[in-house]
Amino acid sequence: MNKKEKLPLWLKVLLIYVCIAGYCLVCFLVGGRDIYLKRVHTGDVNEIDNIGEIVDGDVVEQTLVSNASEILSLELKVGTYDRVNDCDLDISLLENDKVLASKTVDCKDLSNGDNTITFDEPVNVDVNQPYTLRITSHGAKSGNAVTVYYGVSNSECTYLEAKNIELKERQLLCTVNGKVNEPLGLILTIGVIAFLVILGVYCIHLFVAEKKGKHTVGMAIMDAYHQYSFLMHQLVSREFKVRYKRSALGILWSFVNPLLTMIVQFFVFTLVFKSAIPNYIVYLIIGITFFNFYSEATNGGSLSIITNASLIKKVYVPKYIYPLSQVFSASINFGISLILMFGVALVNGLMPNIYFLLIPFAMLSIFILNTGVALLLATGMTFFRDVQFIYNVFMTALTYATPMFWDMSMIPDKYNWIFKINPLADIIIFVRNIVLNNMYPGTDLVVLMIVFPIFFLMIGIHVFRKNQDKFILYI
Amino acid sequence: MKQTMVQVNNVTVRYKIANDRVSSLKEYIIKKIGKKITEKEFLALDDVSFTVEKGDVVGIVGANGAGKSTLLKVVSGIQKPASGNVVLGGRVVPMLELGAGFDIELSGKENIYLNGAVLGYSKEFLDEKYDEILAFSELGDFINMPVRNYSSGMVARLAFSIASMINPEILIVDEVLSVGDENFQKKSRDRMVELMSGGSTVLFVSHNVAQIKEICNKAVWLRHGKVVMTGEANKVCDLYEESLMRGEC
Repeated sequence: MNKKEKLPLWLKVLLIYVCIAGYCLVCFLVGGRDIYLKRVHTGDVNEIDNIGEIVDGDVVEQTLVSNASEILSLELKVGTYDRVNDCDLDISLLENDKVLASKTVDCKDLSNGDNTITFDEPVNVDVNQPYTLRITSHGAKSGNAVTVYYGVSNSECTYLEAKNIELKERQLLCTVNGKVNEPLGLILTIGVIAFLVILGVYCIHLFVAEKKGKHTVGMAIMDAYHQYSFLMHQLVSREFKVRYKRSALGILWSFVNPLLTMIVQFFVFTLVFKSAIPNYIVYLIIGITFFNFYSEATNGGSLSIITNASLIKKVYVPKYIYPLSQVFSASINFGISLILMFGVALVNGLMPNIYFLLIPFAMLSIFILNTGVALLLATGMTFFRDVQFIYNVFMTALTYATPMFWDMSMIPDKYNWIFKINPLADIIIFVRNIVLNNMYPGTDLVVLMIVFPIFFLMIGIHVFRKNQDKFILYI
Repeated sequence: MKQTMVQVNNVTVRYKIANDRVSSLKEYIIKKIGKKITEKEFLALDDVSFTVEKGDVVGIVGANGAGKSTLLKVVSGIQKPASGNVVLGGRVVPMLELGAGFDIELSGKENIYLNGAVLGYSKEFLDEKYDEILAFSELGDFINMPVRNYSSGMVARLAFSIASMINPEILIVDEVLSVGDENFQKKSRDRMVELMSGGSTVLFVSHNVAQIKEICNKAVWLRHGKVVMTGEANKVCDLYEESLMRGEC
């Protein structure tokens, strides 16, 4: 099967390498300094009461210990007494009586409950060193003032004094939001540089080996691509033609399905469960889009060997083609529903920002995850037909275990890690942070999105290869 | 010296026969715990070796269950032998069953491309040969109809047209020439002869001993997975027929 080679090998390999390296560079530039920082905030405080109206002359002070090295904002629980208060609230951060940062907020702008007070510039502090938080008010008198809430102190280094009365073992309901050094940032940088260097060396090795006529894995992959891409194309288009042959909507179904799911979930969770997540529609559609891709790819992949049983018994074709073609056809549906997702985001006023450049990384991550799981399931299903049912139960559980319609903030911090282990949750949270919050999602997510999918891919390939010769006896 | 196209070396294929077909995890765990799963081994092929040279048309004869189809599967790469190996000198085009990969929802034309892709043809080759395939199948406008509406004869004609529209280096044929009406049988037989005399190496399984004597120059006789003899087609076939009449095999 000798096709006319359009591009010489070295050029193809070089182009692929340049694309990979280029994209890694783009990602690092987009992430910037934030790659080496992680967002932290202090934990929960059990509320007891408020300290009463803060009028002119009152001083509220407490020690503040931050686990962030850069404080961006404070979140205070404020009480407005359900009235409009015409005064100012002054919040200052001090180090031994020297004011490090200060913010004055108009009390009319404060609402009952948590208020975020963002400093004009991030405040650099030493981690776990005591500072002083001072709150005073201007133009406030009884009947025209706000208050702040306090609760049980949960750290040793706290001292709260309000209106000259010391409240022992108490602290304000004040969450410190900031950034601190992220050790994974350095690990990620080293990892990516090492990867690119090794890849570069391997490309050169590929080229040299090809000249000598020696066999390499890279060449085998490229040959397989040439030989089977037409077949892959045929299998994927067969999938589409047959699936939509008798349906009225046809390929539009890739649009309509996620849209309908989103509408239903939106109504259920806003009207019935009264979810308070902002931009909930966009929040939902992101989760739905990525979860559906995973669901479709893995379910289709699990059945791929069985449904193609007659083919496998008649012609030799490398068996990984079958689950892989399912993942590819699910990718096409995913692509279409991504258009819907971005459309919904735009309609809701969320403009594309620079962090959107990181979304292809998320797409690649979920693609690799899907391939690994599909290979694993295809192997399982071939030997045991009830894997399908077990997997369905698992998928239902996964729907609830992934923060698709609920938010991670509903989980106490110490249990966060349980959900971070779920690679699907990581990917969805990653994309949501980019689209909804216009921020770099965090290096911890990036590392998890690299490690877990590759882990599943390795296991999937290993299990599949070990058992593929036995498939023919079971189909 | 002629080039060796197929070298079968000590191929052994073992099938495990569980006394009960287990297809679910639950059953498997229960039976494994109860130690009710016993596995007997069945040797479909036992230390089979022979050589096929370029241009040979080798007939494979034997009673039902002798291992003929299994042997073809091993040579095509569909079945991996438990031990031994097969060395190939070229690409194998299998004709183990016509219409492999046919999807009844698709039209004849779409199936030509799908089936062609499965057999390893490239898009350019199929574009080139499309008209020839269509002409040979004599399907005319029916080619654009879904295959679910075809008669079995039409399916056979289409499948054969696709599969035979090549000049394969190694062709493997498993009793596929017995479908269709007389007209089609003649046509397909002529085409097969054309292919075979075109320099392809062929492995041919059939119960029709006369046909084997007619087309093949060599033959392999299998019995219970073992090679009884290999050699010149007429000789092997005569001896095989004699043993059939004696009631052996």
